[in-house]
Amino acid sequence: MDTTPNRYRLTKHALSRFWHAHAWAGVITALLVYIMFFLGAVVLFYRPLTVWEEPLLQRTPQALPSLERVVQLAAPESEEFYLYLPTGERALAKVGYYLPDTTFWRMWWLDADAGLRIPEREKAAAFVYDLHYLWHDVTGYWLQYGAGVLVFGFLLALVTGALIHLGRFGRQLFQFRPDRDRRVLWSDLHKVAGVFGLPFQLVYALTGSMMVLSPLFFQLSIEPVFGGDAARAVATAGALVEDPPARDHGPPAAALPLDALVARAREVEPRLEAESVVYRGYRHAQGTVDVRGPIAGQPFGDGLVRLNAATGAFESLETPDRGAAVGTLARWIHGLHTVEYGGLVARWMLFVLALGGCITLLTGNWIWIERRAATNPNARPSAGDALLAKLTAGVGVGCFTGLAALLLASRLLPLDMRDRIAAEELALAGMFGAWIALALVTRDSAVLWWRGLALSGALLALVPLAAVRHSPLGLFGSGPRHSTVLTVDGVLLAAGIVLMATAAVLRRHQRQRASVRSPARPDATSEPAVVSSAAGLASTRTATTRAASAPEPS
Amino acid sequence: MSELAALGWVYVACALWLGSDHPRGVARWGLLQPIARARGAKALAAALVLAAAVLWNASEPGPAALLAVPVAVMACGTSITLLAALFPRALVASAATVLPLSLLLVAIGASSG
Repeated sequence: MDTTPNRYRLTKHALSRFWHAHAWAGVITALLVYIMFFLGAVVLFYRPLTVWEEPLLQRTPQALPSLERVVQLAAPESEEFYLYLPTGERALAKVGYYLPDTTFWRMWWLDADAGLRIPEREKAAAFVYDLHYLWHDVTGYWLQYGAGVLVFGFLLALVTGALIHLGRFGRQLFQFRPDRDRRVLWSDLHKVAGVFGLPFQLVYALTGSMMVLSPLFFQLSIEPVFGGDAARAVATAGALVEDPPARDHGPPAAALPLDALVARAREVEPRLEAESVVYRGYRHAQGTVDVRGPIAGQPFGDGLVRLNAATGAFESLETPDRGAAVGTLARWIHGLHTVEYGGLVARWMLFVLALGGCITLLTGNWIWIERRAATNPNARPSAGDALLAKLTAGVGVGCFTGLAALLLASRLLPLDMRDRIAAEELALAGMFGAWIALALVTRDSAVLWWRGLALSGALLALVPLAAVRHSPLGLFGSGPRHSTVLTVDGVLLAAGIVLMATAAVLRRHQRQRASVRSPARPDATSEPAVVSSAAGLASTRTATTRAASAPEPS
Repeated sequence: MSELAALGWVYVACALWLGSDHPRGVARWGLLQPIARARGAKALAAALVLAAAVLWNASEPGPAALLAVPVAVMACGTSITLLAALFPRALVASAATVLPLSLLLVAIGASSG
């Protein structure tokens, strides 16, 4: 550890405390935050993936002469439901709702022309989206809140890391020595990627934790801040709160047709482009409907007009330019995190930054392991360090294999198969778990990495071929091309080839490294066998160049 | 297309910035080497980022232009670093040479078109 006081004159004691906080916070949170960053990178392309995976959406958006017909078709089992209208990226309307008193979400596609309510049958993209913040219907909120707390730990690591290097960002940004030994390489890579991505990681950690924890914070604030007045709390929080508190919706009463309600909402806010509606207390006298959608000319956040669904009476209006300070903050939090700006180019850049975040997290763990091994080079690594090394490799490569298995399963399983969504989820979970198990019994993590990447690449490359089963509009289909399906197929094929090529390079370097291992270091194979793709290169160079001359990385 | 052109300017700026100080900056391995070594590379890089901001604003006014440029700087710097870490130097040299030139050609095409 470099405890040299920096130019801002932090004391040696403060530096030491910051460093320990950085290291412990990082190592505790790294693997789960890595999963969030990895899946977050995929979720950047959520909308194209939803079109690619569901053939029902690979058509021109359905025109709806009557919105009320869609409501009748929806016939939800719940009095509270979300109705999503067709848009440029969603060819059919859909309805979604939680089964009463559960966290189980049900969704149906609504084909107004054919008069069909088609159950959701494909959920790969949504599964990845939910897992990105550790949500699953089975686990409910506790795991989501756990994710929020973890991300706060990651924030602590970011802040303490920045404090440690305060005044030395310039040096850490430029100091990059890919031809040194792996400890130096990881240290440099950790710091260069960390400094470059610091604003990105700060923004995403902060906004992510706020989004995930906001329901909890909101509930906790009602009593002490608002004296128990939930309605006033909701009015203040605005867009920060998705669900208003439960209230009595009164006796049964017919709702006005949705066409009339949307027209009334547009009278209230003419700039509103209705994309979805939320009914609460449907067919009750005090039931409400939220008409939601983007506000033309306003950045970040949809507008919302709340009406009494039975009478059409106006209740409230939320637009980006009318929100309270908290509401405005919430819109910026949501808008920044979900990239409500820019186009495809911006999303690809954020994809690179998310991968950079993954590298920062993994290299942090590898530095920890190497540093602890270096304190006593003749001793075997502790059980905790050995486990951390294996879990880092297992989780690191397991994300690739799990995702590839999920996508391939989504193309191979018949669309009418019973429980196919559960089967898809099992494909991801099973593959991910298998690679963690493999990591626990594999001595050399480099082998695990190249084999895992090779398998992931092969599976991903097969996905566009398998996609022909469900849609002829893709890369290898026989029908007319659909631009989104074609693009996703092409990207998956390219990703598969890149992963297989990376695996080949890693395999070559891993074998070279094995062949040049010095016999003077009989304990070499018992070291925590941690290696990255970059480390594979570096470790080869290490054996042939100047490992011993590498200075202590700070 | 203006987005791509702006991204090209940012990439070149990052390569220049890294190449001017970086002991093994990728700009030192490609055609940008003599420029990166010259004095004023950082000023040139800053000017290119400014040009990118103008281009981006032309393509998509509003927060996209404000946010996309710093995001591009971070993404280009990260990708250059990852390239240098993951791939052999010859490949990075080629990328550091070919990619900026290609993007510049796109930029010129976009500006004239």
